Parts: sequence; C-alpha cells; structure tokens
Amino acid sequence: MPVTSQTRKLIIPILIILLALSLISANLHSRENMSFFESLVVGITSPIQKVVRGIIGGIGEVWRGYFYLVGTHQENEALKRELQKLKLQVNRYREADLANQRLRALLNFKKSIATPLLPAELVAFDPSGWFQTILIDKGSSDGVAQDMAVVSAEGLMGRVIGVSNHHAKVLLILDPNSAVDALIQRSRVRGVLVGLGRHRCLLKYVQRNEDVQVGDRVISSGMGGVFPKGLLLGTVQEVVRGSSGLFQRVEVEPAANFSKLEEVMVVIQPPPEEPRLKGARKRQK
Amino acid sequence: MRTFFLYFLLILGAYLCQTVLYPIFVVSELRVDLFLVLLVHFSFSLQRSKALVMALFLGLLMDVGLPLKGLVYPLIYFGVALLASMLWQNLNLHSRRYQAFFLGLCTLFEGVGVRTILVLQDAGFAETSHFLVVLATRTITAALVGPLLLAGLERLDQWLLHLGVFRESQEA
Repeated sequence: MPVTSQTRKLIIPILIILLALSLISANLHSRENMSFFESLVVGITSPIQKVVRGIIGGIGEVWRGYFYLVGTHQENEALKRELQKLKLQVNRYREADLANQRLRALLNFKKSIATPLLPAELVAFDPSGWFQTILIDKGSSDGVAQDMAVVSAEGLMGRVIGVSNHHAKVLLILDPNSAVDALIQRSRVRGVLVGLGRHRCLLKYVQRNEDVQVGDRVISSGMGGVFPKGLLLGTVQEVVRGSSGLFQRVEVEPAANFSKLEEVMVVIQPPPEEPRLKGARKRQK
Repeated sequence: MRTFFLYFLLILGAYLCQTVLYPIFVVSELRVDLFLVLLVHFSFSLQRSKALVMALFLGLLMDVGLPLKGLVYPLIYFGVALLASMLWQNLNLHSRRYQAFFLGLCTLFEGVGVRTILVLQDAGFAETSHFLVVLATRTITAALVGPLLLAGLERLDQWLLHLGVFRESQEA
C-alpha cells in the first residue's frame, strides 16, 4: 500500500515523540559519571575556558591593582583595626578549642582527624543559566567521587554530582535542586537548607515556635549523609512568621562568596553513612 | 570543511560566552541563550535535516553542565529547530518583528520545558514567583536582542559568501 502524504505527516511526529520518550527514559538512570560525550566536551573546552578565565582575571587584576585604588588608605586603616579585633577573637577561640580537645579526650571521644582537602580550580559555569552548577578541574583520577562536599575558606559551596577523569560537576547550594540538612548553631534548631537560585537560600521546615533570630549562624548537621557535620552554611538574614501555617520562613545568606568563585576545595572523605540506611540494609539482608 | 570549521568556531564562541563570560558580566535574568539564536539561524539557513543534527549537537553541549537526568536540551532544541524550519517555509519569518516574537516564544518554551522536566523528575525547583520573573525578563530580552543577533549572523554569512568562504548553495 503506497504511503500517502497525509499518513507520512502523521507518522513523522509520532516517530519523533517516540524517539524523545525513549531518549528520556534511556537516560533516566543516575548520572554519577559523566558520559563519554560530556567528558570529551569538557576535555576539549576546559583548557580554552581556563585561558579565557585567565585573561579576564588578568584584566581584572590590572584594574584592581592600578585604577581602583581610591580610598585604599582609609580601607587599609579600617582593616587593620578589624584585624586587631579578630586576633583577639582568634585567641579566645584557640583557648576554647584547646579546652574542647581536653574535654573530648577526657570523655574518650573518637579522635577527630583533620579532613583532607583537595584544592581545585573553577573551569566553567552552567551554560543554560537556569541552574547553579560549576565545573572544576579535579576528577576521579585525583580522588574526587560522587557526593563529596565542596567548600571554600568561607563555608560550604556544594557537592559533586558528576565526575570524569579530570573534571567534576558541582551542584552549588544556591541551586533549587540542592538540599542540605542544617542546624542553627545557637539554638540547635533543625531544618533543610535549599537554594533559591539568586544568592540566597531558604531554611525550610522550621516550626513556627522554634527559636531563630536574624544573624544566627547555620551549619550542616551531618544527617543528610552527604555533608560532614559543622560546615558553615550561612547566616540568617530574614525570619518571617506568618499569621498561619506550621512553619516560619527563614532566609539565609550563604557564607561562601559565589560571585568571586576562583578556587574551591573538595573534602576528600567518604560521606558519612546514615544510621537509618545501615539499619535498612541490615533488614534487607 | 571551511563551513564546518566556521560553525565550530561560532559554537565554541557561544559556549565560552555562556560558560565563562556570561556568569561574570551578565545577570541571570538578562541572558540571551546564544545557542538558541544560533539554532534558529541554522534552522533558517540550513536544510531541515542538517538543522536537526545541529540541534542535537547544541543540545548535548548545553546538557554538559546540567544537574538534570535525561537528554533535556537536545529534546528542547530539537523541537525548536523543527518548529523554526517548518515556520520558515510557511510564515514570514524574514520579518524582524516575527523573529522577535518567535525567539521570545522559544525562550518561553525552553524555560517552561526545563521547569516541567524538573517537576516530572521531582527535583527541587525555584519559587514560582522568582521563576516567572526570570522567565518573563529572559523572554523580553530574547525578543529584543535576539533579532539583532540574528541580523548579525546573517550579515556574517553574507560577508563570508562575499569572501568566497561559503559556497553559493549554502546561502540557498
């Protein structure tokens, strides 16, 4: 039977829809490792991206070093005063840290081992602009693996969501797809920190009667099974208790400066296993 | 071969803009998807089959940085390329006003597509109000800036044709 033009018009869209659905379903498995194509693209483009970033950085350095020095003296004086204050504070914290170590030893706690950190350089951002992901220049050959935490000197930045040999894809905590189990450091109130996608995060599921104040520091609780406990996430910027509803709205400003991302550090340690998961596995066995 | 090399350079330039320059200089709301503009240009100037192949390639490139599962962008771009090449023949998309409308519509389609896939995959997603603001601003920016970029690409094609880099059949 000859295929008429109308039949062909019907068949082509159906084939395209079937192809689309099969492509989606074929790729719905976990993307722990980058695909061959992704690795190839990243391998080819990352050196060029690094060069472009280097050039832009160089221009920025010249600008900051020579043309942008208005008010530097006053700023320098202010920073010196701030430094003096911070030195005093650091001294106090050191004392507290020593006391803490002594108490831990007395209570026979497991000795805390310094977490190994792997420095990495930022290569590129998400091209679509809809997500908050970055690409770094360290991969599985350097010991980076899925779900490792990525931090900066200021605080937690995100977690690794995809790895190739020499590169890794990192989901920043600003992304709405990111969720970190968090604690208010002062009052130990728990919540889940999710990204708002615009240099702000939201601490969700904090009950209306819980004690949260503007300026409170938010840290990771270690309960999510991905991030180590005690990493600084940010500070509370806004607390809104509506007239109804179970929870209050707590907006958090991340501690890490995402607008000046240059270098990050990957926490090279397997994520802590959740006790609940262990129990579930035992039950399965 | 020369044409392929030129297209490769164009795509590489757009990729660098989106992954390195954009995040430094352009706020998220005002970003025009350069891949989308390139894709529409290819759909207008190339045969449909070639435009569809380009759509898949550009989509795969775009997918590299995404946290989503599945081939999200290849599918979105495939739809856009198909629509553009069909409408180019049936509607007057030579007009800049229509092009503005079309690019705005495609940006809207892209945003809604990404959002839908996020919802389908039960992933977290930005607050609706913020998403709508970004989507609206991006749509307007694409409608305003997109036709200018398309005009620039057309001018580049003509210039390359004049220099003899492109063959006559390419323009046809």
